[in-house]
Amino acid sequence: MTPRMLVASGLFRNYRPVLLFFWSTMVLGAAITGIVLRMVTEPTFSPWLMVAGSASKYWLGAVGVMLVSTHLRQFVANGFTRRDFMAGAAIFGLLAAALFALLVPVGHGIEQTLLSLGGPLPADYGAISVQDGLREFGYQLPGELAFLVTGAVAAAGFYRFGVGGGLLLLIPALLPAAVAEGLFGIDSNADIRTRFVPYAAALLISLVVTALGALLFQRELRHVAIHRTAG
Amino acid sequence: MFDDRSPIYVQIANGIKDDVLSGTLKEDEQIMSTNQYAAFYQINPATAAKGFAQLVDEGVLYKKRGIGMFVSPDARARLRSQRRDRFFVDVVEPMLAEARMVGVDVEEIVAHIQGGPR
Amino acid sequence: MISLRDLTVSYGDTIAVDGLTLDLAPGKIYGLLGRNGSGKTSLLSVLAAYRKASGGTVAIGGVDPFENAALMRDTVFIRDSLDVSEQDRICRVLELAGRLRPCWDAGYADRLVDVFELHRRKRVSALSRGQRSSLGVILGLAARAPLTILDEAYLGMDAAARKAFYRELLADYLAHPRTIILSTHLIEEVADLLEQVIVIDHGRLVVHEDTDTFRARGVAVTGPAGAVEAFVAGRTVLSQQSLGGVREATLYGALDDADAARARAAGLTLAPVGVQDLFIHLTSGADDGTRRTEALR
Repeated sequence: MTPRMLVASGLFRNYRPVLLFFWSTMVLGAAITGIVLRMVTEPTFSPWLMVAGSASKYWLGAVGVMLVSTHLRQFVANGFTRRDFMAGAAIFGLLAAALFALLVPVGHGIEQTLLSLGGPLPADYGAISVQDGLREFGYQLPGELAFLVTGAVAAAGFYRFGVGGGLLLLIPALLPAAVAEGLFGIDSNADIRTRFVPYAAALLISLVVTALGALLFQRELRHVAIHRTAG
Repeated sequence: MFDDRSPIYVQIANGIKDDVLSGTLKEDEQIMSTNQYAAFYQINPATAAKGFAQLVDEGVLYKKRGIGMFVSPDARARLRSQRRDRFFVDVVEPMLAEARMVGVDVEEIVAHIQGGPR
Repeated sequence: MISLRDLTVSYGDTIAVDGLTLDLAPGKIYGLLGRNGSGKTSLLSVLAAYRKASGGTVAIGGVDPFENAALMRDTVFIRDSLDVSEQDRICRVLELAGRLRPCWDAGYADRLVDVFELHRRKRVSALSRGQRSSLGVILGLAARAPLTILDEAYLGMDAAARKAFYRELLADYLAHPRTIILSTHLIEEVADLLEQVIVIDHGRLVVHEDTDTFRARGVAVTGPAGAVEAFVAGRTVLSQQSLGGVREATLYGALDDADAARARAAGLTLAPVGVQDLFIHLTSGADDGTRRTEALR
């Protein structure tokens, strides 16, 4: 395996147990919410979309932070260049974001199936087809990528420049997540939609801002001195 | 094991010379390799090698390529004669200097030597 | 061959390594000796590509190690901060190293875990200082990297653990020769293992030579004050102390047989100076140090 692939697979292996735990928790949480809802009232929205949709982004954001606070030193200490680490982390990040974005509509579909077992669903629920599922994926993916990058860039700023510099660089670091949150969302009818601009434009803007964030990440870390982080 | 009085490689060399003189090491016998020496005395192998190199220079050891270091056939005789030459300077003179400082006469020394155990 | 030319490492206004020039031949065990803050760790960080040099050049086999994949892969740098994930268990740390490091010997690592009496299931954050060091040593040795750098790898270890460390280090070096650089304070303990010593002080190179040669450089001359003064005139004196009419002077510079005879004739006693004491004398005091450094060049 090339160094980059070794990094990517190493990261996946590292997060595999936690990933399983996270998604099981999500499933369990959403299932309980769904069952309770069904017993109490008619479901007019998808609890899954709300919970898993947000939680998975924040979780990836935390992973982004860990890439800098823990994994950078780990891999350099095992003989990898910063460059190969960042490339491997990028591969890992893209795949993880895609996986997470995929699990959202998959979970939604499962939730729908479970809920419909209790009876026909109300029109307000927003039942989905496979096509809708793909759409959900397309709407979720930019956010997953953006949060991962925001976490990583924020941590990188502090790692490279300390508290002062880190705080200053926090502003550009937060942009990818902020832009994604601003453009993509769930409206009052629990429908996924974009705000301000149509989907294609929102996708483009979000991806560009995220890519710029990734570039900042690369610039900050490429010659950084490897040191210990607090805790 | 080794003190600070002289470089370790010199101490190693002297140790081997003593072993040859006493007969512990026989002529044409193979000595331990530098690695074995290093592991046994917990020293760097280069130090052992330096000691061996000095002994090769002095003709006490010879090297068989690919096999190791061996005691030269005439090593014992050679060392004996070297030590004999140095005996009076290295051993007797210091004794006499000490005797002078302490106030022991030469006659007393001779009497001790002649009357004492051999 | 490791070549440093005018290497400078600075952090803002602080200069940690100050124009250091040094050549290290491969395959030897080196001891890097220096006081706290002498620049040892900065020097080693640059060598291991953990940090970029501020000035001058570093080359390993003619190539700058910084961000060089092949050289970084062939280097292992174990330092105080132990660059592992604190939440991981020991077994996991070793497993990761095994997957990432090409020359890793898992069986050897396993044996060392038993030698140092570590518990595989314990998390790194739960280890004592000495146990952390032991883990560091295992990571450093089992990696079998052509360039192995251990920066004060013994901190917190008790005497028994240190002894085990030296024994294992030597045994593995004999079986798998490679370049090993040990930075240490406990010079006396480890001196026998070192082929060459490198002493740095205030970021500058003070000494670089064979351990035996270095050892022979210190001589303590003791006797009546007047006689000592006469004898040491014109020689490099590292320190002197008096007790009544008796003076002891520590000289830097080996005495030949003639000098030794003269000293004895003058009623002076000569004694060897331990490597530790020699090191202390060479590196104490800022302004003294500069004068001393000039004298030794």
